[in-house]
Amino acid sequence: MCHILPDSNEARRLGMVMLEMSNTRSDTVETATARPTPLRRLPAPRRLWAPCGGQPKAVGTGVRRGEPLAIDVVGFPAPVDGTIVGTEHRTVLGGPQTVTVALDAQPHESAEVSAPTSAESVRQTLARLPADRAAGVERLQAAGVSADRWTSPDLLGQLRQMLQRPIDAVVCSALDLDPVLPLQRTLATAYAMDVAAGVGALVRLSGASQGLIAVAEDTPAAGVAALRSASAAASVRLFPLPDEYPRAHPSLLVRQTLRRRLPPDQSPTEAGVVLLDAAAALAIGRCFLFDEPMISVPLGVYDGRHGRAHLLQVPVGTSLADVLPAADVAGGASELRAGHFLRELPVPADAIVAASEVTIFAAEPEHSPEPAACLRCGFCVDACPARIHPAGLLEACQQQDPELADHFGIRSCIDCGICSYVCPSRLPLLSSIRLLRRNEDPPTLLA
Amino acid sequence: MTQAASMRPVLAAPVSRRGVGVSGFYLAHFLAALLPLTAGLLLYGWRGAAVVAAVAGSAAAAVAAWWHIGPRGRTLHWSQCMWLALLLGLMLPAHLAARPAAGAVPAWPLLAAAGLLLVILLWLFGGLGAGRVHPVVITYLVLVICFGSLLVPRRVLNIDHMLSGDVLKSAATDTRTISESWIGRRHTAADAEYQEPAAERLTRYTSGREVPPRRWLPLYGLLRDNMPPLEDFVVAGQPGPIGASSVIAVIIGGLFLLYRGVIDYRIPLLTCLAAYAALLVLPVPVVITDAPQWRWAAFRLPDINWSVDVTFVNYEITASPLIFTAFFLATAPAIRPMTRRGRTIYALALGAVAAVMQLYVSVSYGPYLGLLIVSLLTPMLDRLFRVKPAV
Repeated sequence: MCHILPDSNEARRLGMVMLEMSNTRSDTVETATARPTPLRRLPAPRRLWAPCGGQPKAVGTGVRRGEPLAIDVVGFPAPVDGTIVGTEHRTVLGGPQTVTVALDAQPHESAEVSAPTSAESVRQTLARLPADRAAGVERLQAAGVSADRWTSPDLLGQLRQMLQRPIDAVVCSALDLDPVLPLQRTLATAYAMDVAAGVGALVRLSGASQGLIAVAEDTPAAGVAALRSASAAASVRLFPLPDEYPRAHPSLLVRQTLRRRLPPDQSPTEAGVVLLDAAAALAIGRCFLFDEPMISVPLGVYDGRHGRAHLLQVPVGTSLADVLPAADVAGGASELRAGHFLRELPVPADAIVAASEVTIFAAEPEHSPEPAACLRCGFCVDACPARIHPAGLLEACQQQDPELADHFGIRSCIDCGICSYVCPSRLPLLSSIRLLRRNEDPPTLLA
Repeated sequence: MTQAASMRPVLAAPVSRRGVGVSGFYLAHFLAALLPLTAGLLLYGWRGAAVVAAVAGSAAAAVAAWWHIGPRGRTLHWSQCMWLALLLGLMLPAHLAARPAAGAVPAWPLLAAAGLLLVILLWLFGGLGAGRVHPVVITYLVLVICFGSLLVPRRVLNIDHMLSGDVLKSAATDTRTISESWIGRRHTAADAEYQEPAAERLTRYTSGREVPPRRWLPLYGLLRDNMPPLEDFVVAGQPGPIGASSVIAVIIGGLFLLYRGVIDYRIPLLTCLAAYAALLVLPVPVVITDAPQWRWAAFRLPDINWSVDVTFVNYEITASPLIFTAFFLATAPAIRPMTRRGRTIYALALGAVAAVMQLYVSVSYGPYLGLLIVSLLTPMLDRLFRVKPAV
């Protein structure tokens, strides 16, 4: 089976084919056969660096797949069978540095196989969910289910807050940041039952009155049909939206689906919403359906050099240095950015894959032109999806004036990078906003 | 093109501006100005081209010199300076490119001085994106103050000498038949014809300075007997500035700017609508006798009515450089507000003030005065209308 997707259309086509196959089976009785996957499953490399949230086990300890790596906190399961050989600080994809456990994987690791999901099994699973909401959250935490990325902010934090404050909606985004890399769409359509089960489980656990799955309007009809039947089984509904950047951002998504205001610096639970993406919903669904720990994550790699999208399933803790050759991307010669290319989040080639960003854009390094003075053209203001004033924020950054920054709407910046993208003067607008937020020295723009 | 640039994302906001740098931004303006420039060259021949070239040439020389003067020199941007020089050239009449008659003061140094003054003003304001008044408008108004009568265009090429004729080769007096349009009328053997510009006639009437031959001139009499066909303004045929003589060419050029997404449609649209409304209701002399009889909202009078007043407003709009100002000058990034609401207020104010200036000061440069005044409000509008975040 070919898993390398030469372009997004091909990805959609293959995703749709896989979906049709799984639809056929979903109406039948569960069988023990493995489901075909539209994601290419990468074998575990010889060494992984799995995140460890607390005190790791001693060096030399052998661990089994799914067994906790830390001795003082739950969660953080070992992604493979192996031996702990040390601890290191490693950068996670699009995130900060974190403590990881270096793990030497045992050879001949077999890939996990999950059975296809039927609507009936989704209904039964949801009916069997624990009445104790805290127990449900603990179960997810123990299985290492987490996500902390642009389209799915701090999932564990949301789950904990969910126990303390009223939640009336669960929103799952199956929108992709860029249609050239249709990872979320592929996951949502190929694993519709699992994703819907994840959303449905969160609706039950949170006591929310509604569950929504935001899907791209141009999703193939077969995919929509699968999602529709899955959402009916999980008692959630579909919400079609245009698949355009940056609609998948939580603030914009909450505004579009629920007509609520969610400042970007707040957790979705502040607006009474639990928000996650299809990859996170899939992990939750699998946890409740099959008791599967989250030991691998989906990963989309867009190779700008050849215009190809690669959709992969990668063990947690795999270094990009091991992922990129497998995706035929020359890591050293390419500029890697996590999330979306416009977000300007550079990724070191040795970053590890974890619960953070699940998409990477690789392209030839872009020559940064010398910025000119601000034209006051207003392109950035017109293009900003949050309707703030990026040029004014640059001025505030240069003057180091927090009040001016507040006046120009820094709190509402969603960090999408469209302002820098459209600026004719090539001003570092996004970097300035990030500097303002970190309260660092402003950049020198003109010599 | 790099691979990064080829990754054109599908954006929620309608953004089609990636790849437009500062030079590209002004290149779009140059392309938009091609049509008014071409119309000007057809109407005024090589002298029109010489005026534009002289202003642009002197501006280029001035930029080359001023580039080295102080840190501000580095703020000058070639494409911006050349664009502004072109604009200034389009605002001037073609007869300035003339050899001096014996004993007369030559006009061509004025063109060189205009380009130089423009660059000095840009340098003083701080170059790209700086300054809250339009340097082209300031330069033009300085020229008006210093050489007012010299800037009044009175000649236009005959249609059979378009482009190739010499605009100064004309009869010394007004020889045209007023009822015929420039395109349809029979012309003399001379290359060009001499006309008193309608803008001057309108200015004299609306400011009450008109002295009619029979000591009595009503508004409808002015429009019926003393004005050329409206077609001469809309298409071509009236003497005027090189770039603003054909309203249709200016509008098409402006629409190109809108199409390329480099200007905000609100500014030209609301400016023209506000000016139209203001010209309809502002007091105008309905009859000039020994003392002009001024009336607010003249369309309400039985002997004026809607048709006369609308015709009057049409003449005012097309005979003045209002549309040129609305598309090419008022949309300049440095002088218009950044927020949408700010731009709306700015455009409405510009239309109203331009109408006042046009009626009571001068049809020829009233819109420029209006722009100068309203652009001073821009910093206040930017402060007043703060952004309203969506999230």
